[in-house]
Amino acid sequence: MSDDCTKEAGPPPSSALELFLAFGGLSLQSFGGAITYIERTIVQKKRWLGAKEFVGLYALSQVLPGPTGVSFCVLLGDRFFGCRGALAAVTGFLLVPAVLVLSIASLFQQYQHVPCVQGALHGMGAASVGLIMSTAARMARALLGYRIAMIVVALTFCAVGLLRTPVQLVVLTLGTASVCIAWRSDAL
Amino acid sequence: MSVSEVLALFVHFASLSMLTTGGAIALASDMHRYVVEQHGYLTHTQFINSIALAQASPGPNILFVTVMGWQAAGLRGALATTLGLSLPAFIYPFVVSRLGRRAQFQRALKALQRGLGPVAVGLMISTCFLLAREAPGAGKGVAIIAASFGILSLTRFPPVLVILAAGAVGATLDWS
Repeated sequence: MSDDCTKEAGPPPSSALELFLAFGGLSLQSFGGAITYIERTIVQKKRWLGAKEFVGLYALSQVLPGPTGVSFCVLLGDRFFGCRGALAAVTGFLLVPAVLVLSIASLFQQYQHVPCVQGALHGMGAASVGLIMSTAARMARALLGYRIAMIVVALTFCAVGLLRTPVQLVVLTLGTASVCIAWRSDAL
Repeated sequence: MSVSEVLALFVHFASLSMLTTGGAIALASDMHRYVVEQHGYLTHTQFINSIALAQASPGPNILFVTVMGWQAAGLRGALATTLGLSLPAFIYPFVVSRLGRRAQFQRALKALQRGLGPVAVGLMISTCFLLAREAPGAGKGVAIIAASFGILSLTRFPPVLVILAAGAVGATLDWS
Protein backbone atom coordinates (compact mmCIF):
# COMPACT_ATOMS: atom_id res chain seq x y z
CA MET A 1 0.00 0.00 0.00
CA SER A 2 2.82 2.42 0.91
CA ASP A 3 4.33 1.50 -2.41
CA ASP A 4 1.16 2.68 -4.18
CA CYS A 5 1.19 6.06 -2.46
CA THR A 6 4.57 6.99 -3.82
CA LYS A 7 3.64 5.95 -7.34
CA GLU A 8 4.46 8.74 -9.78
CA ALA A 9 2.76 9.46 -13.08
CA GLY A 10 4.34 8.25 -16.32
CA PRO A 11 3.93 9.77 -19.81
CA PRO A 12 0.45 11.10 -20.73
CA PRO A 13 -1.84 9.28 -23.20
CA SER A 14 -0.73 9.66 -26.80
CA SER A 15 -4.15 10.45 -28.26
CA ALA A 16 -7.84 10.95 -27.47
CA LEU A 17 -8.44 7.58 -29.09
CA GLU A 18 -6.25 5.94 -26.45
CA LEU A 19 -8.38 7.61 -23.75
CA PHE A 20 -11.55 6.35 -25.42
CA LEU A 21 -10.24 2.78 -25.59
CA ALA A 22 -8.94 2.81 -22.01
CA PHE A 23 -12.25 4.03 -20.57
CA GLY A 24 -14.27 1.69 -22.79
CA GLY A 25 -12.16 -1.24 -21.63
CA LEU A 26 -12.30 -0.45 -17.93
CA SER A 27 -16.01 0.26 -18.10
CA LEU A 28 -16.70 -3.18 -19.56
CA GLN A 29 -14.88 -4.81 -16.66
CA SER A 30 -16.56 -2.86 -13.92
CA PHE A 31 -19.29 -4.49 -11.88
CA GLY A 32 -20.79 -2.65 -8.95
CA GLY A 33 -19.05 0.71 -8.99
CA ALA A 34 -16.34 1.72 -11.41
CA ILE A 35 -13.85 3.25 -8.93
CA THR A 36 -11.68 0.13 -8.49
CA TYR A 37 -11.36 -0.36 -12.22
CA ILE A 38 -10.68 3.30 -12.91
CA GLU A 39 -7.87 3.29 -10.36
CA ARG A 40 -6.41 0.05 -11.66
CA THR A 41 -6.34 1.27 -15.27
CA ILE A 42 -5.46 4.95 -14.87
CA VAL A 43 -2.93 4.71 -12.02
CA GLN A 44 -1.50 1.20 -12.06
CA LYS A 45 -1.60 0.12 -15.71
CA LYS A 46 -1.42 3.33 -17.77
CA ARG A 47 0.20 5.53 -15.09
CA TRP A 48 -1.48 8.65 -16.46
CA LEU A 49 -1.92 9.92 -12.90
CA GLY A 50 0.14 9.49 -9.73
CA ALA A 51 -1.67 7.83 -6.82
CA LYS A 52 -2.04 11.12 -4.95
CA GLU A 53 -3.28 13.07 -7.97
CA PHE A 54 -5.81 10.33 -8.58
CA VAL A 55 -7.23 10.60 -5.06
CA GLY A 56 -7.53 14.38 -5.40
CA LEU A 57 -9.23 14.24 -8.77
CA TYR A 58 -11.56 11.47 -7.70
CA ALA A 59 -12.55 13.28 -4.50
CA LEU A 60 -13.35 16.35 -6.57
CA SER A 61 -15.59 14.40 -8.92
CA GLN A 62 -17.40 12.98 -5.90
CA VAL A 63 -18.07 16.42 -4.41
CA LEU A 64 -19.38 17.92 -7.64
CA PRO A 65 -23.05 17.31 -8.47
CA GLY A 66 -23.60 14.82 -11.28
CA PRO A 67 -22.49 11.20 -11.71
CA THR A 68 -19.03 10.68 -10.19
CA GLY A 69 -17.62 8.44 -12.91
CA VAL A 70 -18.64 10.80 -15.70
CA SER A 71 -17.25 13.84 -13.85
CA PHE A 72 -13.96 12.00 -13.43
CA CYS A 73 -13.83 11.22 -17.17
CA VAL A 74 -14.37 14.90 -17.97
CA LEU A 75 -11.73 16.10 -15.48
CA LEU A 76 -9.13 13.63 -16.73
CA GLY A 77 -9.91 13.97 -20.43
CA ASP A 78 -9.91 17.76 -20.18
CA ARG A 79 -6.53 17.73 -18.47
CA PHE A 80 -4.88 15.96 -21.41
CA PHE A 81 -6.78 16.98 -24.54
CA GLY A 82 -9.29 19.66 -23.52
CA CYS A 83 -12.92 19.21 -24.61
CA ARG A 84 -11.94 16.57 -27.15
CA GLY A 85 -10.33 14.45 -24.45
CA ALA A 86 -13.32 14.86 -22.13
CA LEU A 87 -15.66 13.73 -24.86
CA ALA A 88 -13.48 10.75 -25.78
CA ALA A 89 -13.27 9.53 -22.18
CA VAL A 90 -17.00 9.94 -21.51
CA THR A 91 -17.99 8.25 -24.76
CA GLY A 92 -15.78 5.26 -24.00
CA PHE A 93 -17.04 5.09 -20.42
CA LEU A 94 -20.77 5.26 -21.28
CA LEU A 95 -21.36 4.23 -24.88
CA VAL A 96 -19.57 0.89 -24.92
CA PRO A 97 -21.35 -0.64 -21.88
CA ALA A 98 -24.63 1.08 -22.84
CA VAL A 99 -24.75 -0.88 -26.09
CA LEU A 100 -24.17 -4.07 -24.11
CA VAL A 101 -26.76 -3.39 -21.41
CA LEU A 102 -29.38 -2.40 -23.99
CA SER A 103 -28.75 -5.63 -25.91
CA ILE A 104 -29.24 -7.63 -22.72
CA ALA A 105 -32.35 -5.63 -21.89
CA SER A 106 -33.90 -6.21 -25.32
CA LEU A 107 -33.16 -9.92 -25.04
CA PHE A 108 -34.95 -10.03 -21.69
CA GLN A 109 -37.82 -8.00 -23.08
CA GLN A 110 -38.33 -10.49 -25.90
CA TYR A 111 -38.71 -13.36 -23.46
CA GLN A 112 -40.41 -11.53 -20.62
CA HIS A 113 -43.66 -13.48 -21.03
CA VAL A 114 -41.77 -16.68 -20.15
CA PRO A 115 -42.47 -17.20 -16.41
CA CYS A 116 -38.92 -18.16 -15.42
CA VAL A 117 -37.45 -15.07 -17.18
CA GLN A 118 -39.88 -12.82 -15.31
CA GLY A 119 -39.01 -14.74 -12.15
CA ALA A 120 -35.30 -14.21 -12.71
CA LEU A 121 -35.91 -10.46 -13.16
CA HIS A 122 -37.97 -10.36 -9.95
CA GLY A 123 -35.13 -12.09 -8.11
CA MET A 124 -32.45 -9.79 -9.56
CA GLY A 125 -34.59 -6.74 -8.83
CA ALA A 126 -35.03 -7.76 -5.20
CA ALA A 127 -31.29 -8.37 -4.79
CA SER A 128 -30.61 -4.93 -6.33
CA VAL A 129 -32.82 -3.40 -3.64
CA GLY A 130 -30.80 -5.28 -1.01
CA LEU A 131 -27.60 -3.89 -2.56
CA ILE A 132 -28.93 -0.32 -2.55
CA MET A 133 -29.98 -0.77 1.09
CA SER A 134 -26.52 -1.94 2.11
CA THR A 135 -24.99 1.11 0.39
CA ALA A 136 -27.49 3.40 2.13
CA ALA A 137 -26.72 1.79 5.49
CA ARG A 138 -22.97 2.30 4.98
CA MET A 139 -23.51 5.97 4.03
CA ALA A 140 -25.83 6.51 7.01
CA ARG A 141 -23.38 4.96 9.46
CA ALA A 142 -20.81 7.61 8.59
CA LEU A 143 -23.21 10.30 9.84
CA LEU A 144 -24.07 8.69 13.19
CA GLY A 145 -23.39 11.08 16.06
CA TYR A 146 -23.72 14.26 13.96
CA ARG A 147 -27.03 15.59 15.23
CA ILE A 148 -27.71 18.20 12.54
CA ALA A 149 -26.82 15.74 9.77
CA MET A 150 -29.21 13.15 11.22
CA ILE A 151 -32.00 15.73 11.32
CA VAL A 152 -31.36 16.60 7.66
CA VAL A 153 -31.47 12.88 6.75
CA ALA A 154 -34.79 12.45 8.56
CA LEU A 155 -36.34 15.58 7.04
CA THR A 156 -35.20 14.59 3.52
CA PHE A 157 -36.73 11.15 3.95
CA CYS A 158 -40.03 12.57 5.23
CA ALA A 159 -40.23 15.08 2.37
CA VAL A 160 -39.17 12.80 -0.51
CA GLY A 161 -39.91 9.27 0.71
CA LEU A 162 -43.18 9.88 2.53
CA LEU A 163 -44.65 13.10 1.12
CA ARG A 164 -43.28 12.63 -2.45
CA THR A 165 -42.05 16.23 -2.66
CA PRO A 166 -39.95 16.92 -5.79
CA VAL A 167 -36.25 16.52 -5.03
CA GLN A 168 -35.36 19.86 -6.63
CA LEU A 169 -37.56 21.70 -4.12
CA VAL A 170 -36.10 19.80 -1.17
CA VAL A 171 -32.50 20.47 -2.22
CA LEU A 172 -33.12 24.16 -2.86
CA THR A 173 -34.62 24.66 0.63
CA LEU A 174 -33.30 22.01 3.01
CA GLY A 175 -30.08 21.41 1.03
CA THR A 176 -29.26 25.10 0.92
CA ALA A 177 -29.84 25.42 4.67
CA SER A 178 -27.64 22.38 5.31
CA VAL A 179 -24.80 23.74 3.13
CA CYS A 180 -25.04 27.12 4.90
CA ILE A 181 -24.75 25.43 8.30
CA ALA A 182 -21.74 23.44 7.08
CA TRP A 183 -20.15 26.64 5.71
CA ARG A 184 -20.61 28.52 8.99
CA SER A 185 -19.51 25.72 11.29
CA ASP A 186 -16.40 25.40 9.13
CA ALA A 187 -15.61 29.07 9.70
CA LEU A 188 -15.71 28.82 13.48
CA MET B 1 -43.70 9.95 -26.69
CA SER B 2 -43.69 13.30 -28.48
CA VAL B 3 -40.55 15.39 -28.96
CA SER B 4 -41.62 17.85 -26.29
CA GLU B 5 -42.15 15.00 -23.83
CA VAL B 6 -38.66 13.66 -24.56
CA LEU B 7 -37.26 17.16 -24.02
CA ALA B 8 -39.15 17.46 -20.74
CA LEU B 9 -37.70 14.11 -19.66
CA PHE B 10 -34.20 15.39 -20.46
CA VAL B 11 -34.79 18.59 -18.50
CA HIS B 12 -36.21 16.71 -15.54
CA PHE B 13 -33.24 14.34 -15.29
CA ALA B 14 -30.78 17.19 -15.79
CA SER B 15 -32.37 19.31 -13.08
CA LEU B 16 -32.31 16.38 -10.63
CA SER B 17 -28.67 15.64 -11.32
CA MET B 18 -27.64 19.32 -11.30
CA LEU B 19 -28.57 19.74 -7.65
CA THR B 20 -27.47 16.56 -5.91
CA THR B 21 -24.36 14.61 -5.06
CA GLY B 22 -24.13 11.03 -3.89
CA GLY B 23 -25.06 8.92 -6.86
CA ALA B 24 -27.84 8.52 -9.39
CA ILE B 25 -29.57 5.71 -7.53
CA ALA B 26 -30.42 8.17 -4.74
CA LEU B 27 -32.56 9.98 -7.30
CA ALA B 28 -34.52 6.86 -8.25
CA SER B 29 -37.39 7.72 -5.93
CA ASP B 30 -37.96 11.04 -7.69
CA MET B 31 -37.49 9.44 -11.13
CA HIS B 32 -40.17 6.95 -10.15
CA ARG B 33 -42.51 9.77 -9.18
CA TYR B 34 -42.03 11.43 -12.58
CA VAL B 35 -41.75 8.45 -14.95
CA VAL B 36 -44.14 5.95 -13.33
CA GLU B 37 -46.57 7.82 -11.08
CA GLN B 38 -47.02 11.12 -12.92
CA HIS B 39 -46.63 10.26 -16.60
CA GLY B 40 -46.99 6.48 -16.79
CA TYR B 41 -44.12 6.11 -19.29
CA LEU B 42 -43.08 2.92 -17.50
CA THR B 43 -44.81 0.41 -15.23
CA HIS B 44 -43.41 -0.16 -11.76
CA THR B 45 -42.10 -3.57 -12.88
CA GLN B 46 -40.30 -2.06 -15.88
CA PHE B 47 -38.76 0.52 -13.56
CA ILE B 48 -37.38 -2.13 -11.20
CA ASN B 49 -36.25 -4.29 -14.15
CA SER B 50 -34.17 -1.37 -15.46
CA ILE B 51 -32.30 -1.18 -12.17
CA ALA B 52 -31.86 -4.95 -11.95
CA LEU B 53 -30.52 -5.31 -15.51
CA ALA B 54 -28.07 -2.43 -15.13
CA GLN B 55 -26.75 -3.77 -11.82
CA ALA B 56 -26.24 -7.23 -13.32
CA SER B 57 -24.40 -5.93 -16.41
CA PRO B 58 -20.90 -4.44 -16.53
CA GLY B 59 -20.53 -0.68 -16.69
CA PRO B 60 -21.30 2.25 -14.43
CA ASN B 61 -24.49 1.95 -12.36
CA ILE B 62 -25.98 5.09 -13.91
CA LEU B 63 -26.80 3.01 -17.00
CA PHE B 64 -30.06 2.08 -15.28
CA VAL B 65 -31.38 5.44 -16.51
CA THR B 66 -30.33 4.46 -20.05
CA VAL B 67 -32.42 1.29 -19.85
CA MET B 68 -35.26 3.30 -18.33
CA GLY B 69 -35.27 5.86 -21.14
CA TRP B 70 -34.95 3.16 -23.76
CA GLN B 71 -37.96 1.28 -22.38
CA ALA B 72 -39.96 4.51 -22.29
CA ALA B 73 -39.14 5.90 -25.75
CA GLY B 74 -36.46 3.90 -27.54
CA LEU B 75 -33.18 5.47 -28.57
CA ARG B 76 -34.21 9.09 -28.03
CA GLY B 77 -35.52 8.22 -24.59
CA ALA B 78 -32.21 6.57 -23.71
CA LEU B 79 -30.34 9.65 -24.93
CA ALA B 80 -32.65 11.99 -23.02
CA THR B 81 -32.20 10.28 -19.65
CA THR B 82 -28.49 9.47 -20.01
CA LEU B 83 -27.41 12.88 -21.33
CA GLY B 84 -29.74 14.65 -18.89
CA LEU B 85 -28.21 12.87 -15.94
CA SER B 86 -24.67 13.42 -17.25
CA LEU B 87 -25.11 17.11 -18.16
CA PRO B 88 -23.80 18.52 -14.85
CA ALA B 89 -20.62 16.46 -15.30
CA PHE B 90 -19.96 18.52 -18.44
CA ILE B 91 -20.45 21.83 -16.66
CA TYR B 92 -19.07 21.74 -13.11
CA PRO B 93 -15.63 20.22 -13.81
CA PHE B 94 -14.91 22.93 -16.39
CA VAL B 95 -16.02 25.66 -14.00
CA VAL B 96 -13.90 24.20 -11.22
CA SER B 97 -10.73 23.81 -13.24
CA ARG B 98 -11.08 27.42 -14.48
CA LEU B 99 -11.76 28.83 -11.00
CA GLY B 100 -8.59 27.21 -9.77
CA ARG B 101 -7.48 26.64 -6.23
CA ARG B 102 -8.66 29.75 -4.44
CA ALA B 103 -8.98 29.11 -0.70
CA GLN B 104 -12.52 30.47 -0.51
CA PHE B 105 -13.52 28.13 -3.31
CA GLN B 106 -12.02 25.10 -1.60
CA ARG B 107 -13.99 25.98 1.51
CA ALA B 108 -17.18 26.23 -0.52
CA LEU B 109 -16.58 22.77 -2.01
CA LYS B 110 -16.10 21.35 1.47
CA ALA B 111 -19.32 22.96 2.71
CA LEU B 112 -21.10 21.59 -0.36
CA GLN B 113 -19.88 18.09 0.39
CA ARG B 114 -20.73 18.18 4.09
CA GLY B 115 -24.05 19.91 3.55
CA LEU B 116 -25.36 17.76 0.70
CA GLY B 117 -24.08 14.46 2.15
CA PRO B 118 -26.98 14.04 4.60
CA VAL B 119 -29.48 15.00 1.86
CA ALA B 120 -28.04 12.22 -0.32
CA VAL B 121 -28.43 9.72 2.51
CA GLY B 122 -32.06 10.79 3.00
CA LEU B 123 -32.66 10.32 -0.73
CA MET B 124 -31.07 6.85 -0.67
CA ILE B 125 -33.35 5.82 2.19
CA SER B 126 -36.36 7.17 0.24
CA THR B 127 -35.34 5.03 -2.74
CA CYS B 128 -35.03 1.92 -0.55
CA PHE B 129 -38.40 2.62 1.05
CA LEU B 130 -40.11 2.98 -2.32
CA LEU B 131 -38.55 -0.12 -3.87
CA ALA B 132 -38.97 -2.38 -0.82
CA ARG B 133 -42.58 -1.36 -0.23
CA GLU B 134 -43.64 -2.69 -3.61
CA ALA B 135 -41.57 -5.87 -3.59
CA PRO B 136 -43.27 -8.61 -5.64
CA GLY B 137 -44.38 -12.12 -4.77
CA ALA B 138 -46.05 -11.88 -1.35
CA GLY B 139 -43.05 -12.18 0.92
CA LYS B 140 -40.68 -13.82 -1.58
CA GLY B 141 -39.33 -10.47 -2.80
CA VAL B 142 -38.92 -9.23 0.77
CA ALA B 143 -37.09 -12.44 1.69
CA ILE B 144 -34.60 -12.00 -1.19
CA ILE B 145 -34.12 -8.31 -0.31
CA ALA B 146 -33.39 -9.20 3.31
CA ALA B 147 -31.04 -12.05 2.39
CA SER B 148 -29.02 -10.01 -0.10
CA PHE B 149 -28.90 -7.03 2.27
CA GLY B 150 -27.52 -9.31 4.98
CA ILE B 151 -24.93 -10.93 2.72
CA LEU B 152 -23.75 -7.64 1.23
CA SER B 153 -23.57 -5.84 4.58
CA LEU B 154 -21.79 -8.58 6.50
CA THR B 155 -19.48 -10.13 3.88
CA ARG B 156 -17.30 -8.84 1.06
CA PHE B 157 -19.08 -10.98 -1.51
CA PRO B 158 -19.10 -9.31 -4.99
CA PRO B 159 -22.55 -7.69 -5.49
CA VAL B 160 -22.92 -8.92 -9.06
CA LEU B 161 -22.67 -12.56 -7.94
CA VAL B 162 -25.37 -12.00 -5.33
CA ILE B 163 -27.64 -10.45 -7.98
CA LEU B 164 -27.04 -13.28 -10.45
CA ALA B 165 -27.64 -15.90 -7.74
CA ALA B 166 -30.88 -14.15 -6.81
CA GLY B 167 -31.84 -14.28 -10.50
CA ALA B 168 -31.26 -18.04 -10.54
CA VAL B 169 -33.33 -18.47 -7.36
CA GLY B 170 -36.04 -16.19 -8.76
CA ALA B 171 -36.31 -18.22 -11.96
CA THR B 172 -37.26 -21.32 -9.97
CA LEU B 173 -39.85 -19.62 -7.75
CA ASP B 174 -43.57 -19.21 -8.43
CA TRP B 175 -44.20 -15.46 -8.18
CA SER B 176 -47.94 -15.35 -8.91
